[in-house]
Amino acid sequence: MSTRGVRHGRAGASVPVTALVSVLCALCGIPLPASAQTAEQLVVERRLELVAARAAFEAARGAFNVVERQFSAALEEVARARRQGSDDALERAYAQAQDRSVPYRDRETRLGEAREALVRARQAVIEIIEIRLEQLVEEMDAARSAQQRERLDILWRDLATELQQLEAEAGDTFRLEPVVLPEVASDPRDTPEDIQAKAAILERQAVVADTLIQEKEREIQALTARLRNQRQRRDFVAGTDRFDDTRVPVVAGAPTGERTPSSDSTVVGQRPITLEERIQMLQDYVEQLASYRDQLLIRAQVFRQRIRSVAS
Amino acid sequence: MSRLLGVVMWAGLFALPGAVQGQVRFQDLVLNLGGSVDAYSGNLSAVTVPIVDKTDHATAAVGELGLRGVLSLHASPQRSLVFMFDGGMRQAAAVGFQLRDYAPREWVGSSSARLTHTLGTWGSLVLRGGVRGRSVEDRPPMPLFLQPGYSTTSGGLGLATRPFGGVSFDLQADVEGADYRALEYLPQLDLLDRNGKGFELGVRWGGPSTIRFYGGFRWTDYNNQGSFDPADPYRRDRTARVGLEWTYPGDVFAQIGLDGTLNRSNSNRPEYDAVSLRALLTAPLPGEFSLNLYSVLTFKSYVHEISFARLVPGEEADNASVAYLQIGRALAANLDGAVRFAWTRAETDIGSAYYRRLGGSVQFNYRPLGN
Repeated sequence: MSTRGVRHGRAGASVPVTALVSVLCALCGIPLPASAQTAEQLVVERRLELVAARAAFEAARGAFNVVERQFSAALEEVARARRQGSDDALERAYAQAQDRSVPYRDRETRLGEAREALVRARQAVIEIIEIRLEQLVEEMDAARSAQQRERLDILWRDLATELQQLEAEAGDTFRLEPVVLPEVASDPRDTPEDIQAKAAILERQAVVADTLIQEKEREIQALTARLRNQRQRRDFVAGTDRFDDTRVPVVAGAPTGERTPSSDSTVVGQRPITLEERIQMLQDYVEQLASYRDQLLIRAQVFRQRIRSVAS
Repeated sequence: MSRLLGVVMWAGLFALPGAVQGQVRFQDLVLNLGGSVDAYSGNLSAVTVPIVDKTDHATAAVGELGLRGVLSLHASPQRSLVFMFDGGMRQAAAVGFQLRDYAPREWVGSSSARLTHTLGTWGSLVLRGGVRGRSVEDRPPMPLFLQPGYSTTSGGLGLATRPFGGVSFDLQADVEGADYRALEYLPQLDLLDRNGKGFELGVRWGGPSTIRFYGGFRWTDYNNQGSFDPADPYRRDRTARVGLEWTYPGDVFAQIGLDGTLNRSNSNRPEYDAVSLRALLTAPLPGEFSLNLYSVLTFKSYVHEISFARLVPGEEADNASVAYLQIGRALAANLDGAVRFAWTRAETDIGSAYYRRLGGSVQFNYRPLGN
């Protein structure tokens, strides 16, 4: 690790250093690979894709709302005809509901696809920003001057704010999906086949909830790991900087001007949720989902018991 | 110094979460507790250390306590204002000296404010200012080197752009002043007082690994150091720096940086060329452990042959190398633990003198707010 070879070179040894600096300067003249995709480029491109996905989702939601209202009106017509006891009216209402169910299902499918595309696009932006943030944090760790660290920190904060806003938006997505039990009710006129079908619906919903629980638990694990690494990195830098331990008996080239505490690598901007808050939200949601799943299974069990009692 | 530290510490204590209203909020608050054992060796002398001891080896047991935080004072999409503080105390029990044992105590503190303004869609502007200071009681002789007490003030203006055609640019300018706390019986410390200003321009490209090339220039005046030129009696340095940095992100993170410096002065003795090689590696380990490795090697050579000691002996060694290795793990939700090993070596061309530090420490970081 000693550098005596160079150090003892005296005046002559300055030549290789100068040559090295010249090489660095020459490197500056290398044509920039503008066609190469950088992390910054990918951030920009994925932002545009997210904008497009948002527009497509809003359009799909608008179209779905229209057919959903039409289909609801047809179902209401069926209920009215049933209450009136008019077979002709009921038949016409069924036919209308049948006709409107086709575009309803199409638009529902399209809305689901658009929502998935939006989630994918958002996740793609989040992932590339995370990569870029990792780059910036590590560069801050290795920064050899307060000025360099400050400049990197500006970039970090802007991107981190955007990341947390996107994460909050992703959080809003699952909060927009209320954990309520589906309208599957027992009806005295139900045949055993009807009850069987209703029980199956509840069990399928429970399976979906279970899958969602596993997905959210994986997300919690990933966020927790990210939070842990972020903390340890910040603590590492702060610990080595605080008491000037990285400053050996050398002052040249290492100005002792104000240095940014490593703990400043956090976010400013609109009150974004922190990683901890996001984890807590996910944990709360998982609890809700687990309760929801259990209730579904209990109700499915009740339906099946009713089948057995009807059969006996 | 104690006044500055008081301001820093009280700023942290008074701005407790319960008192924070509206937009003002803590972004981070960390209480640090640590202990270490360090071994020092070498025969490098330091002109700023008042006592000389003949020993070449010393050992110290060290305990430290620190508090740092980030407080957001204003935040809007276009503008943000952040206040940062960091303070701490470190107490050592040093043995192995021939004269006596020492119990050096260090107090450190820093605070700064930063105003960031977004410039439309193409960049952002940042204005910052800050102070930093430290003091040392019962400072031991070499080879147990501790930075002397000082205070600095600094300010800067920076500009960073978004990528244009895959290339982003950054520019910053700064000024700083450093005042070393010269004691009555140790006026040599005043030799280190300086005022500086400089700028740096950077450009980055590539992907997924990236390359950043940067260059800058700096003017530094040492108004208490002579130049041996009656017409221009005080030392004035001009420093040009260029660097290249390669970064590979991923599960295993790697970064290598090469930095070249040309220092020229109105005095022959501090003119030198230097190259620094920097490496950083971060990797996850089994069992939720993580590893951080950081090292810097510095190579330096002087331009002119002169017959007497250069610079300020002991405070500006010819070469310095640093290596840090840390293995960390979360112990609880708000508590992290880490084991850190540090190695440092500096050499001067005066009688092949050297200084070496080798240490190991255990660190705990507690976040009372859970962030």
